[in-house]
Amino acid sequence: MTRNIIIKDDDEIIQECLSGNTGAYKNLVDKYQIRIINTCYKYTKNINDAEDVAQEVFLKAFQNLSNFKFDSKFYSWIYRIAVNTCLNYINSREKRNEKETISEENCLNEVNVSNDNPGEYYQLNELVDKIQPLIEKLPEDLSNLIKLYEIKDLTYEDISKRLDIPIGTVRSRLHRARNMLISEFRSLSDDE
Amino acid sequence: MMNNNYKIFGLIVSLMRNDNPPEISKDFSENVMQKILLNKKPEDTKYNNFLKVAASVFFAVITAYSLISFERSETNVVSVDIIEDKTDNSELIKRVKDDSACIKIENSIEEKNDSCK
Repeated sequence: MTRNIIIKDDDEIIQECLSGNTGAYKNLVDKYQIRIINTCYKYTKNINDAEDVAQEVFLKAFQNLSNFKFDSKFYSWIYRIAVNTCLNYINSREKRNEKETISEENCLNEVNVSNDNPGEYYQLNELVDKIQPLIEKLPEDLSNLIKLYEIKDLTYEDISKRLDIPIGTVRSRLHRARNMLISEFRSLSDDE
Repeated sequence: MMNNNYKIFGLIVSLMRNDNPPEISKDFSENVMQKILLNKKPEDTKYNNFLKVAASVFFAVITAYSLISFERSETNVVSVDIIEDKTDNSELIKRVKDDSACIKIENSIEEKNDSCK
């Protein structure tokens, strides 16, 4: 049985933030942290640096939230901020490295995994195999919808035109698909 | 395991897209929110609002008073100037009129004298 889980649209969350509810921004951070950290990780090649840069990205995005145009997806917007911040970070790191001599510490920075306590980290690669069966469990129309919206990055309007269904139906079916996925994931983690 | 719906949904989507690093720290979003709150300006309290209103009223009164006193002093100066100007101008006009009349008369006398010669 799936519970009614409320996952608000990004635009709705942004409106809440703009009207003074700073706490609502945590929902956006929670939702996009993995993808933004991964974008930074591709540039920095180091998970600790990637998290530091990603923190800066989310901070910059929050400070410039009033400049967000609602005609694009929030992720596309924050992705651009992430790429620019990473490029700035790399430029400043290169300048720093030009001044410093090569030391043991610099060499250690090339190690990809963190040296911190592994208990403080989610090991994501272990979960990859568990996600695919969750999507396959969804009814076909819902799994198609999730793939179109979340993987192919189509908008509600695009999906509505492509599948020839009203936008309201797209929204409600996506809501149902998200609920089912989250509930399935919860039951999976409860079993373990 | 993660207990937040947005975290779970973000995790599912990122794994579906193969868009994930090998690991992330568990308290990443909490750290971000802490940083945001630290960078945010202190929130308005009732006391701050009262201070703002009091300050704006104070400046409004000062501005109004200085405007009124400036207006008064300006009016006095202007009134005196106008009176002086009027008197000066009228005297000048009189002098000019008088002079021209004299010159004309003088000229006509001279002309008459010339014709007699």
